[in-house]
Amino acid sequence: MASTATQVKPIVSIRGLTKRFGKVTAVDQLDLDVYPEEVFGLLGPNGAGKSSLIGMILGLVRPNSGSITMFEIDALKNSRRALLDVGAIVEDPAFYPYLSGRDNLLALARIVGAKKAQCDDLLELVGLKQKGSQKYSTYSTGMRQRLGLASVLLNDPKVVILDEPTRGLDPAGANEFRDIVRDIAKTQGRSVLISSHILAEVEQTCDRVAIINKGKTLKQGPLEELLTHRGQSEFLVGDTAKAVSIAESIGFVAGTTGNESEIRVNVDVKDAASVNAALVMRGIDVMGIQPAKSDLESYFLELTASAEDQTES
Amino acid sequence: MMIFRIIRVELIKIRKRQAPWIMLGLFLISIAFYFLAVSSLADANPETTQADSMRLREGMRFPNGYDGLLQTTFRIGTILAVIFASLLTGSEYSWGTLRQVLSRGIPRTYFLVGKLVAIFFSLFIAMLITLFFGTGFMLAGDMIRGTIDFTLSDDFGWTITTDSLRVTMILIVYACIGFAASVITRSSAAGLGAGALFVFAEVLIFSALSILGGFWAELSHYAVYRLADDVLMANKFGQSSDFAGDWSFSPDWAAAILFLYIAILMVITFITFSRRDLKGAA
Repeated sequence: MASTATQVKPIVSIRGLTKRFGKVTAVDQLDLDVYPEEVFGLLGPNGAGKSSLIGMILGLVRPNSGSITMFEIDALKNSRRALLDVGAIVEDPAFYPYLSGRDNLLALARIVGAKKAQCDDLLELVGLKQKGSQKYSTYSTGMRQRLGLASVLLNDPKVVILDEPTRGLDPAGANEFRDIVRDIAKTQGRSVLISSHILAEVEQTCDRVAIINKGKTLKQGPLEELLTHRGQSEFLVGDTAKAVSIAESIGFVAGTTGNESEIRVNVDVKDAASVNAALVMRGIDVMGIQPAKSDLESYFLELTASAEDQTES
Repeated sequence: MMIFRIIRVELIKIRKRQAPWIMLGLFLISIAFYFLAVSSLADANPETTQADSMRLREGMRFPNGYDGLLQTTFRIGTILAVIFASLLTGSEYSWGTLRQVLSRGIPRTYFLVGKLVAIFFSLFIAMLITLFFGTGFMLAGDMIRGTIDFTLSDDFGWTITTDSLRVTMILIVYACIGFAASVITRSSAAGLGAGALFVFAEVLIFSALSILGGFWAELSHYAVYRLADDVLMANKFGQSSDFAGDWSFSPDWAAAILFLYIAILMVITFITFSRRDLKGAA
């Protein structure tokens, strides 16, 4: 994963991107970097500006200001060259209903100059080889998403952009789709930019995440970093009730976690030692200490709530 | 070259789609119906005089029947051309395939040019098919009546070519109207509605204007349907003189004005399409 290697140049770099639709600002001074071979998640509620952002990256929506650089090419000035190595599904996969899955893929392959043989390989990759001659209009939602993914991979793009890719899929289908997406990044060496409002999906699939709301980036970074080092430590103790009162008596906010054998103390990791000493001195058995990991959902809600507060104040 | 690849794909899409074939089938049925109707009028209607019967029969014989064939093609074909172009263009919006294609870095102008060229080419092919079937209908009628005669005038080839091309040109004008309406309204239904409304409303509005006389009557000479008729005067079946009994443009001038109209319409369409955001409403 190249995400933490700051010396690696981003493959997609967005700076100060703004898009207004009339009086509504859909994307507001947004900055974003996607590095090679990573799965980057755009996480935000419906209407956060994810699709508008993807639309601008793909040259479908004209930004009011800002810049998009892809493969060191100014994508706003030369979108044709910049998008040569990009495959994308925008909103839902869209194909001609009267053509078969294979013919749809062939049509797109002809336009982008991909080889005909690649279509069959891709149909096999997404598990549609047997159904390739069936009309697209007869495809289920899952099959449509798979065909969409196959079309995205035509011409071996270096960057794959998927807008809400598991929308409408059943849990098993969504899970399978996520596996394919991870495979695309990890074994085929592509960068994947995926937008979603499903937190679990982003958590399971992405290496780095940008949380956006009302067109602004609230937080951006590696998923691990976002979920840890947030000023909390977890202590595995024998007597949680007593441990909580001790931690609070020495000025730290503490509470038990779900399994009742751990307490979560609101301290920076470097202060964990003093809490540990206090607990041990008062006879509490401390079996373990670790930086607290919150789930993405609570972090997301926390971030969006504080953004709401700032807007109101 | 990418533009040729786009045109090829557009033609494949047209070939594999049912709607254009259904439209062509209906059109050929209406042509067959025309020949049958005229034939029954010539043969069976007691009110038809012998001279009229002779004239009708002569008008259906090979090669005289091409005038009637092309005139019917013009009358029915214009609305079919609007429907055809609207469907082909508007469905790219309703299916979302427009976004799919353009997100691969295909220049927007290439996409429109590819579609337009494919529409023009299809109309040309449709005209050839019409001529083929029309010839078949004429010869079949001649065989039934035992009047088959393959004698052709020296300029037959040139005349049939130029006459057919003029009608094809008018069909292209109307296809451009349907195409522009679909691109601007971003839907095949709205494009079809706007295109069809134009075809019918224009006739009504300019006919009303010509009744008012003076400047308004002059203005009606610039209506697309009047100009189309003026162009087809060169085919000897235009109807300009029927409207007001006054002057009309020469076929060349009428063609030039129509070309100017379409050039302006296409510039507006291309600019609108190039500058527009293709999300949300798309």
